[in-house]
Amino acid sequence: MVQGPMEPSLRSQANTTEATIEVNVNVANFSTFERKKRTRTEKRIVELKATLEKTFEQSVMCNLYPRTVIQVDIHVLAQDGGLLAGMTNAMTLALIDAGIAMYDYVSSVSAGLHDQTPLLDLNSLEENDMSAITIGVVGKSEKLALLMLEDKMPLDQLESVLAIAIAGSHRIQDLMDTELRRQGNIRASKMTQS
Amino acid sequence: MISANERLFLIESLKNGIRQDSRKLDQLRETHIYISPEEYGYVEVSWGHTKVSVRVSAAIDKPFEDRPFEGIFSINCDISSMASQKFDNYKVGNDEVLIGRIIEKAIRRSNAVDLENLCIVAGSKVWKIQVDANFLNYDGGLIDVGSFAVMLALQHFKKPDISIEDDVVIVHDVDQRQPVPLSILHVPVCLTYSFFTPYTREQILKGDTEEIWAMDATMKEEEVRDGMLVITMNKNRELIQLSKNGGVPIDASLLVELGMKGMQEVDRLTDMMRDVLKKDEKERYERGNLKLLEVGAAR
Amino acid sequence: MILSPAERSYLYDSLIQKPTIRPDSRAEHQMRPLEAKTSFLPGSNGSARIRLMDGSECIVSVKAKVVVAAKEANLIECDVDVVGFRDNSNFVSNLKFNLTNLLQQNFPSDYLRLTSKYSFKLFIDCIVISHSSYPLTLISLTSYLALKTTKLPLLVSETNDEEIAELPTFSDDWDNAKPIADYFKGKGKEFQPPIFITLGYVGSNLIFDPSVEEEQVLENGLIVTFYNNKVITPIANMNLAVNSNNSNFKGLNQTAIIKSIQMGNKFGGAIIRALDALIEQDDDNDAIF
Repeated sequence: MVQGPMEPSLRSQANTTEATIEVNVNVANFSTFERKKRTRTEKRIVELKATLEKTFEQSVMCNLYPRTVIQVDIHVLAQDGGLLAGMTNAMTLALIDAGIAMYDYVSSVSAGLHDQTPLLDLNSLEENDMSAITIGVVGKSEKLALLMLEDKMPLDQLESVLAIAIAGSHRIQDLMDTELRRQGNIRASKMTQS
Repeated sequence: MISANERLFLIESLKNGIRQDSRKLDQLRETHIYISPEEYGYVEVSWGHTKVSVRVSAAIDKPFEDRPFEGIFSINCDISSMASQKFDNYKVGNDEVLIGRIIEKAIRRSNAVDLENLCIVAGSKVWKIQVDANFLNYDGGLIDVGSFAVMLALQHFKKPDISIEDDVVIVHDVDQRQPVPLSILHVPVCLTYSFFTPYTREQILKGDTEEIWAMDATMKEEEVRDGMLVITMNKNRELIQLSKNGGVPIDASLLVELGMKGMQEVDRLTDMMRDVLKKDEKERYERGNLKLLEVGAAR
Repeated sequence: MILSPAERSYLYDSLIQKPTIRPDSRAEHQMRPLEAKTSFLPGSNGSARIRLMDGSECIVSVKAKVVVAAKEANLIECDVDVVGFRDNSNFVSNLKFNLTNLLQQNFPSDYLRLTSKYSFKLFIDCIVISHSSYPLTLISLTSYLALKTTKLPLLVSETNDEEIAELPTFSDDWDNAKPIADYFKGKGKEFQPPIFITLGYVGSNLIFDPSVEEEQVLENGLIVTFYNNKVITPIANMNLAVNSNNSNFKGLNQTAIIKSIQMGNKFGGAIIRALDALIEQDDDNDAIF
C-alpha cells in the first residue's frame, strides 16, 4: 500500500529538495510452509527494506515532491522463491497505481544456474540448492538498478545468467504494462459512464 | 557533509580520471597489516586511513539443536562513533546493518569456515568461533577492509588442541601442544565499486551515458557517489556475492567487465594474505625455537 | 478523520433522532457494505480477505499443524498484526486478547482431534492492512470466513494409535481434504465460528457497526458476541474511538445492554447468512479482488 506524498511525521525527516521513500516490509507469519514468527528488525528484512528504498529513490521522480514522505507498506502473504523480485515488481505497480511520477518501470526477476543451464524465476525448493541472482532492470534498457547474489556462481557463467534474467525482466515489464493499461481502461470507462 | 563546490570538483576530476590521492581509478589504497606476535587471531589492517581491528576467539559451547554436527560461527561488526561521527553508538543505522550483513554473507554464508570441522562431540560440544571486528577509523571502504581483515584473522587464528579421553574433553594449553588452525575452505574477497555520474537522471535513463567508476572509494568519494556495487569473489573464479542496493543503474556488460577486472585484485589480495601469514609463521617458528621440537632435530 | 465541533454536534443530533439518521443512510442494524475473497493463499489451509467500502482491509490465514494433543494447552492460537501499531501496543494486544479469548472459549476444539494421541492445532493470523473504525468486527468477520473455508487434509492412518509410534499420515490428494464443517457434521453439529458485533450507543439508539465518524460522537460502545444463533458472553463496553477524545462518552444504561442482546439475537443470524452466501458466491478465478 502506498501512502503519500505526505507531510513527514517529524520535521527533521524532511528533505528540502526531494521526497523521502520509506518502505515497511512485513513478512507474514504464515507466508512460508512452516509458520514462523518474524520480527521487523530481523537483519534480512532490514536489508530488503534498505535495498528497495535505495532502488526506488533513483527511479521515482523524487525531485517533484520535495519535503514529503512516500510510505510504502509491503505485506508478504505467501512466498515461494523470488521474494525480492516479487516485492520490487509489486512496488513498481503500486507506485504507478498511486499516480506517483516515475521515470520508468523497475522490473525484477531471479535467475539461477543449475550446472551449466541458466534457469529463470526459481521457486523456493530450487532456491535452496542452487545459486540465484536477483536483478532489477530499469525500463527496456540493459541497465541494472538492483543486483543481489548470495551464493556461489562461477564468474564465467555470469554473462549467460544475466542475459536470460534481463530478457525475463523485459517480459515481466510487458506483462505489467498490459495489466496497467487494462486497469486504466476499465477505470477510464467507468469515469465516462458516470 | 560536503559542500556543493567540493562535490562538483570531485566529480569533475573523477571524470578526468584523477583522484584526490593520485590513485588510478582501479587502484586500491596501500595496505598495512599488523599481526599480533603473541597470540593467534588478532590483526589490525589499514587501507589508507581506514583502520580495522579484528579478534577471533574460540570457546566450547553446545551446538544448535537442528545442527548437532556443526560448530557455531558468528561475525560481529561494530562500528562505533570512534570511527566517525557518522555512526551512532546507541542506534544501529541502516548503513551499519548493511555493512555487517554484506561481510557476514561474504564469509559466513559462503561457508568460508568449515563448520563440521568445529564439532567435538556431536550434539553436545562444539567450538564456537566468534569474530569481532572493530572499525577504528573511517575513510571509506569499510566492507572491503572489514572482510579482508576478518579473513586474514581467521586464517591466522589457531584454536587450542583437544583430546578426548573417556568422554572427557581435555583442552591443551597453547604452550603445551601446538594449537590447530581452522579449516578454511576458500578465501572470499570483497571489492566495492563506487559509481559517479555528472549527468541528470533523465539523461542516464535515456542511455548513452558512461558511468564513472572507481575502486576503494575514500570517505569523500563515498559521500558524493551515486551508487555502489559490492562484488565478492575468491581465487577459484567463483562469484560469491553481488550486491547493488539501488543507486545509478549500470550496464550489464559493465558488470561483467568489472567482475573480470576484479579477479586480478582478488588474486593479488589473496596472495598478499598468504605471504603475510607465511612470514608471521616463520618468525614465530624462529622465535619459539620450534626447530628443536622437530622429529630428528639434533638435541 | 477527526471531526470539528460543529460536525460533531450535527452528527450527534442526527444520530439521536428516532429513528436514527446515519450519515451513510444505513438503518440502525445495517453493516457497512463489504467485499470478500476466500481461499486465495496457496500456503494456508484457509484464508479470507475482506475490504470495506471505506478502504479498511483485513487478511486472515488459518494454518493447521499436527501436534501431540497432551502437550498443548490450547489448540487454537491467534495473532493480530495491525499496520502502524507495535505488536506489543495496548491496541493490538487488546484485539488479540479479544479474538483469542473468543475462539478458545467457544470453539469446540475436540473436533480437531485426529487420533488418540494427535490433534490439529490451528494458527489464526490476522493482518489489518488499513482501518479507520475499530477493527474488531472486521477481524472477526474475516476470521469467520477463513475458518469456514479452512480445509484439513484427509487422515488415512488409524484413528486409534495408542500403541503405534508413528505420526499420523494423510492423503496426498488435496481434493480429498475436507472443510472443518464436515468434521462437525460427522458429529451431528453445525459448524459456525463465533463473531463479534460492535454496536454504538447514542441517545437511546443502538447502531450496528459504527463508522469512524460515528464513533467519535458515541455515548458508549458495546461489543456483543454472536454464536450458534444467539448472543453469548462476553459482552463488553468500551470507547471505540481510540484516537480521539470522545467528549460525549458516558456510562451505560442497563436497558441498553438488554436492547443490544435483543438486537443481536434479531439481526446476528442475517449477518451469518450473508457471510455464508459470500462463500457460496465466491468464484474460483485467480484475481484476489
